[in-house]
Amino acid sequence: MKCNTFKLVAMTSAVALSAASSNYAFAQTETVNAQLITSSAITTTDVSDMDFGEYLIQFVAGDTPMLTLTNDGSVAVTQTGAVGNGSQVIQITAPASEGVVNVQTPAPATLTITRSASSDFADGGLSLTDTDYRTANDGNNALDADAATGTVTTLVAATDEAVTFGGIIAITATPGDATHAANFDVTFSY
Amino acid sequence: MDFSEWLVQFVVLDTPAITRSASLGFEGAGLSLTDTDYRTASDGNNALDTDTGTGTTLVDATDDAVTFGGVIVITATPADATHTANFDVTFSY
Repeated sequence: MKCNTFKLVAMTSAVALSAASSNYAFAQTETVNAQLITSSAITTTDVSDMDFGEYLIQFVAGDTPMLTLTNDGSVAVTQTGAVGNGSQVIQITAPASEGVVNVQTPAPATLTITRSASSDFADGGLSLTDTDYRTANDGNNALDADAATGTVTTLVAATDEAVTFGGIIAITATPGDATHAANFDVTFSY
Repeated sequence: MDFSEWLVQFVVLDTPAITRSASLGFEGAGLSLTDTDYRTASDGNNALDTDTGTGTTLVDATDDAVTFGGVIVITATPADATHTANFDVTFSY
């Protein structure tokens, strides 16, 4: 075989091999998965009531006596109204607790607290007229009536954040000797 | 004629293409995997949102990592759950 003929055969073979190689399709497929876990549940616990304690109360017309319960952890009640006409409001038993509700979220978050379903004292002469709440981050805030809202900040993930309630009982008549109760709901939401 | 070099030039073994397909988004309303990027040691960061790219393997018969990241756009509060999405990537010459 002549040298020129050999070169022609070699080139023809290379072209033919190249054309044949183009028929092979090498491909490999994998699935890439994306995952996201979402967790926003709000957990609450009713820890303690707003306990104002026990009092001797005798009301005289024209006065505006009031019992004010703290919400700063000091657990104290003071008579803060006008008693110039002779009304008597004397503490017999000190308050046992401020109102405390714990709230917890999976991560530090900002919540809205909303008051609803308020049920005032049924007995004439007593009314829970003012209610304040306090948290470590949010300070003291009024939450006086249904539909009132405020901000509650949870500071640590999955850890109870205390929301502490105090308030004012306005006295407008001498109540009967009894255990008097009032309540309202608070709803925490994002 | 150096025949072996012809094969290397023709096949381009070290530069496969990456093609995305069969994308399946989050089923929960409010979440969408809108952007996806991949990165290799040689090819840097590249978008692979709906299209194709290049992935270069650097060493013979050795794994070359193709690392994916992306963006989840949030348009509503999702339910508490494990949300998943996925897509296929096909490596071809």
